[in-house]
Amino acid sequence: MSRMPVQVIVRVIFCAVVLCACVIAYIFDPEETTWLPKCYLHEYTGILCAGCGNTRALHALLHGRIAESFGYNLLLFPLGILFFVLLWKPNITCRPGFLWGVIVTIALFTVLRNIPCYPFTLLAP
Amino acid sequence: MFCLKCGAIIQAGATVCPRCHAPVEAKKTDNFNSFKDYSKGDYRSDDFGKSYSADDYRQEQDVPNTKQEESSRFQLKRDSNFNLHSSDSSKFQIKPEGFGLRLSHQPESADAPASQPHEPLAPVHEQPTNSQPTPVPPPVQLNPPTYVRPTYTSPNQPIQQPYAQPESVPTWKEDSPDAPPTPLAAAPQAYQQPDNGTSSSNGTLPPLYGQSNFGTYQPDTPREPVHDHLALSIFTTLCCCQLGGVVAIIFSVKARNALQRGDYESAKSSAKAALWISLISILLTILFWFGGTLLEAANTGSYDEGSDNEQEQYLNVEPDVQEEGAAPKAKLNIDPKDRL
Repeated sequence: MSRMPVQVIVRVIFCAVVLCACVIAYIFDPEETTWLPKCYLHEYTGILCAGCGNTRALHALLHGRIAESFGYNLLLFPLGILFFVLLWKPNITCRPGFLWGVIVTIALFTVLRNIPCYPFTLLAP
Repeated sequence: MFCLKCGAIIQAGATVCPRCHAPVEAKKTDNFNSFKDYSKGDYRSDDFGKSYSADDYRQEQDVPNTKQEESSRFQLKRDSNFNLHSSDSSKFQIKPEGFGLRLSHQPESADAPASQPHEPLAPVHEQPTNSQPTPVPPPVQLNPPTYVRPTYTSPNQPIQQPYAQPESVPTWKEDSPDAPPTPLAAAPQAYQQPDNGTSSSNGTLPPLYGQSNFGTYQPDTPREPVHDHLALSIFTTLCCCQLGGVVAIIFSVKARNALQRGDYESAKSSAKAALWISLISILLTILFWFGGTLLEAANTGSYDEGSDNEQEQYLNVEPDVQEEGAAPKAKLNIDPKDRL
């Protein structure tokens, strides 16, 4: 009884944040602005994390350039879908192997996109 | 317990169904299946709610009906706390004891204590008692108060129990006229379990349930449901801080798996860890963002003024002095600290 409004509030907050992010990423081009949040792990260490290029990928996705979006960040679209599914149905049934697979995929993606060779540089933004 | 939605078996203590993740509603599920031990001859779960009579009780416990009393019935009921009570608590009392329940029979003649430990429910069967002024009957002797397994064998079949002594079991042919009328009459003596001291005297029987740790009787207090903050963790990974986000996802998945196993406590702690890691990561990222933006603005401001950053000034001044040539460029690459 008492947790339902909390859940609704959390959902509304998340949706508002995501909507704001979408609007900002639609209007402003991350390549040209400087004030959009940057990845500070990349800024200070030079390591590309799994979230690097998300803003550019979102900008490209909102402008309809899907291939470019996947070139910036491969995981934004699938993880975004997973995020919204889990936001709406927190108790959705999935195998535990699937979620461990998600973790392994993220870790593998992070490792692969940091390799400075040809086929892996496609993963880097 | 069984899930109300999909019918999957739920372990005791689990709050969500392992198959469909529906929250377990404890009040409606048949919780007694979790600690019944049918092999011990306990009451079955569908026996609750039925009414029992003193005759049933005596027959089941092999107690002779010395009182010749009218069969007074009682009913096993659950109250709002999911505890079991007998409806006629003056005669039959059910108390939680150890891991199980203890059904004790108090004869009517014995002075029942005025204050019962449990509030008796309203008697369901208010039988019209035959107004026979019974002269105070002798109290029902229930010693030795051993727990006799109820034997449900039909009289036509020979008893096949591992404990039966083969000499004591009479052998007879079916439908023979000299067959003993009730072979069960002598049989329960052979099956009496040894008195291990747990049974006390005066009509108190050993616990009906809980001879094994098969299931524990736990009153179903409603627990707050556990949320693995998986969506929050994924959000953290996507948008904010990947290191913290992945750790938070790992904790969330651990919480989810623990919840499926029914391990409530570890699920709770893992979910808490995931929540805090996510929140701290988001907070750090926001701080970094604001801090970085402010620092940048401050840096550019000082750069424009040209007063603060001597290093930049020095580097800016130097190329003006020596414009051409490869050597000054090489000089430029030397760290200004070394030069100073």
